[in-house]
Amino acid sequence: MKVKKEVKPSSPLILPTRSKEAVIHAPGMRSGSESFTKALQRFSTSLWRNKNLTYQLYKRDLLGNYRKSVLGLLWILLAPLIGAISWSFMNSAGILSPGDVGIPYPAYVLISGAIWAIFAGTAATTGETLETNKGFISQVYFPHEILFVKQAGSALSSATITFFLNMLVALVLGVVPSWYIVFYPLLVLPLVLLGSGIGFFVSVLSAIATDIRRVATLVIGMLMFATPVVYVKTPDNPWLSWFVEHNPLTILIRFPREVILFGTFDHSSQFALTSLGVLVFFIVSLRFFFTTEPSAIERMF
Amino acid sequence: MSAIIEVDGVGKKLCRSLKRGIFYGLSDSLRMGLGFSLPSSTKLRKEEFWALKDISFSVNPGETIGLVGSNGSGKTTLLRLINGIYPLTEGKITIRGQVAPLIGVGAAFHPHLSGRENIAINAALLGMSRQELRKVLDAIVEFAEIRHSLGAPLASYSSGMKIRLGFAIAVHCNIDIILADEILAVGDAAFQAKCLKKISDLRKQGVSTLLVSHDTEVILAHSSRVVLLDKGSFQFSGDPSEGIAKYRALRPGEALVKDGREIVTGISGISVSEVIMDPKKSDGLAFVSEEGSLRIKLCLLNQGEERAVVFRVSVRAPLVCAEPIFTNDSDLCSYPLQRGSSELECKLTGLNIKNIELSVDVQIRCKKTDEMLYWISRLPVQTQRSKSLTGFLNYETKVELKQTERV
Repeated sequence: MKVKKEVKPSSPLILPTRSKEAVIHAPGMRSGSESFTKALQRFSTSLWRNKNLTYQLYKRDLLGNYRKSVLGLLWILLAPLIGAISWSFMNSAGILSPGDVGIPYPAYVLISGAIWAIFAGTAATTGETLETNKGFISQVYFPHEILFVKQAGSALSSATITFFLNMLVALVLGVVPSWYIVFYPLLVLPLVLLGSGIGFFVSVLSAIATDIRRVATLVIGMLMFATPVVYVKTPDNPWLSWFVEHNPLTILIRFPREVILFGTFDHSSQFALTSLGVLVFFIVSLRFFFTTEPSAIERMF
Repeated sequence: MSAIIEVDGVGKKLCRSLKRGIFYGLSDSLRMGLGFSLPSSTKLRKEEFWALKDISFSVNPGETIGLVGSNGSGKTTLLRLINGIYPLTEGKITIRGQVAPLIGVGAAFHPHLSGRENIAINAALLGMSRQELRKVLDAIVEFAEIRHSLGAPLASYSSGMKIRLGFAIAVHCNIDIILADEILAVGDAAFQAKCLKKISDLRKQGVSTLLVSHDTEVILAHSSRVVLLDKGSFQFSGDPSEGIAKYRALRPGEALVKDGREIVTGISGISVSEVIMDPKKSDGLAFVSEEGSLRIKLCLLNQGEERAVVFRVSVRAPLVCAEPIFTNDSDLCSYPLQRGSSELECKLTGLNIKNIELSVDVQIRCKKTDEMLYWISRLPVQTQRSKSLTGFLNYETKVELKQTERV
């Protein structure tokens, strides 16, 4: 017979994965992270403890999605290329008036679009976390925050591959990036945090009422046109131009794009401030997730 | 030694209406998210009900608890609470060990990934590290009997293989507690026997099991204690046979317990009086024989329009499911049952039963309308009883019908 060590019970705030510590389930215990720093601490501890599971689930999605297709992982390259071709076609047909983008338009759309995809991809993928993984959430308990990391990870990795492939295409079109491109991870981090933060809210609330995700998908789709992604000049409509100016995404996209393409650091303080705001938003949404997720889960089935 | 699971005054509210559930969920989430207190948990809001209320019991290491109750009594909800899937409304559950839920085995299986990859994912979900998995990988593959298809995508597996694999992963993951919800409802008899054997081996190593099954024979054979739930409330905890008797008594209309036998359906005029298993050779064990017979005495008084009846006799044993051993419901054999007392003798050859408790189900149905006229369940076969419950059952049958008395 195994010898069971008597240990002091710990709260399940951080789920001990393979420890023999006692776990207590009681009302409010899982949603008990009152402070914002505790939420952040719980998130990072859980991520560290469950790194193998996070990796396995990430691999499951990546391989599972591409294995049953003839072209497989090539789709990561194909999809954005087709997008860029259609944008360039529209531009050459004179339908768009993007303003002076400074470099060949196809290269501009490719790079700008890839940066946008980091935000939109993270928000959309993390927003459907609980829904997509419903199958195992209902059957086995594990810390669900790692599902968000997995979802954000797959969105980020496919967007990153797209970004660097597009960069190669841009090179062919004669656009040489500045050496600051090595700061890519830091430059796009705020976009990832903003996307995941939105994802936390959307995922929990849409687990209760699915309308939330539909609305979120629509809003993110519209946001792309309210952010200078495929154009640079300020729109003529005063409402839209006000929005474009005050939209935090504008600076979060413009700054990395300018740093990478032109090596210029205009608006760096604005970027730093916005990033700080995004970090605060991320922690707030993380706490929201921890407090509300348990009650959302039981409404899912 | 302290209990491995302690369930203390647990209650769980659920909502009957989907739309109200959405409303409560959204308002609760927003309140919690903004830091407001929630409405009193002890009061029920409109359309809410207690799926579980005041449940308390504990499970010691190495104990197997049979959790019984009719549909909707809250068994699955309780397992989900213990597993941590649902939050509790009130009370406290303390778990001292690693839980392997067999509620749905192979939860994270992906059809396009290979067996090997799926093992890695599911083991990780049960908290195994890659080093730990390497040690037990062979045992998993062996138990699941999938060595030859380990590299093939899971989509190519039969459903039995998938279940075997899911079960194999769960029981090899260095666990302390198994939550088994109707695992025996799936898989063939051989696999069920294998699962139960594995559970009983693990029990000897101190692994506790919470076993949910509607098959009371399985519960009786494997549990050291029975916990009975009814409509979300705690009814009984203690001796398995007492618990099962209370459970059967809770289902009025479904079963009548008469002289210790359970008559599920009965139309007056038909009765089965006794079932005798006749060992030709007996060496002190319950039943060891190359050839034996099963005699069923039955009496048919009102034949009425139902001139032709169909009967089906099944043998129940703790490790096998009730498979009909003989029936006249086929072209091969037809036994015209006539008014009066009859004795049905079923010759069993190639029999190999050791130390096993047998019971028999007898069904008599109208051939024309297929109406169930008589169904007696779990009629104990009169053989010598023994405590040990291991054995095999296989048989070929020949049936003879003797009219013993005409009315």
